[in-house]
Amino acid sequence: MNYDYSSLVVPQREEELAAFDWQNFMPSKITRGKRCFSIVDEGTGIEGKFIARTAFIHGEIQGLVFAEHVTVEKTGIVHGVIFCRTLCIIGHVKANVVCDNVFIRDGGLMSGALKYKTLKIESDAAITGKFERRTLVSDQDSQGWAAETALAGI
Amino acid sequence: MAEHDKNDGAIFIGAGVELKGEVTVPGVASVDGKFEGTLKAKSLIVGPSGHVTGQISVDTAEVRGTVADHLVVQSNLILRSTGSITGTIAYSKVMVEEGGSLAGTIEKIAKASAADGEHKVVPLHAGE
Repeated sequence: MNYDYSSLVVPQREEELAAFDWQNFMPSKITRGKRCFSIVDEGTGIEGKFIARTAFIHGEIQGLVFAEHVTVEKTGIVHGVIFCRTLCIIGHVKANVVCDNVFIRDGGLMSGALKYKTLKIESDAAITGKFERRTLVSDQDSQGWAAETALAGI
Repeated sequence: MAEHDKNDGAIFIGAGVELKGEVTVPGVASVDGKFEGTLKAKSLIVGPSGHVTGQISVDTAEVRGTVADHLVVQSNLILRSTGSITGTIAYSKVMVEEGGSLAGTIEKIAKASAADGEHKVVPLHAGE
């Protein structure tokens, strides 16, 4: 099925983030009612934009991951930016992340800037970087995030 | 939380009590009221009504209330669902329950040597 990727843009400002409608996120919309997911296998690398409804990442991605549900598996590595609704980290994420619900499991590593609504971290996970709860985001900081994603070329 | 020697001195700041200053506690510091200042302790327990701000350096911490500014936890940091931590945070092991709020600059520190019982504070990087 063809669809227009150009209409998929990562929200840059906090008000845009708050207004983002995952119900109308195109990959989710066109696969509604179906069991659809994408797997980036171990040994597979992607450089650029990875857009999906549900993504299981065992390989390595450098760039943007834009999906409703993302799981970075034990062997998975993501560098760049992740924008998603739910994120489960068992592998390594070295990225700027904007997400509603984040779950960092044992063995998971999150390094970078994280903006979240709910956060759960298991005791053998590791985190470093700048964390921020999105309900508490100030306008000044949302501009900072916009600058970060702009610098990432996304 | 870790077990503590019964002989370790402890401090309990009850709900409604406000304490400002510099405190060194060989055992448990339990805060249900407000503390502001410098706190060094083996263990910090912040109750749901507890507020702690300032330079905090402990071996273990369990937070159900709020902690702000600088928090260094040499061993286990547990943030419960009602807890909130803001500022610069350094830890060795961290666990966050769903609902807990963690905001600020976070870094992982090397765990202190097991043979060294003395409390060590790893300085946070300035400007981060």
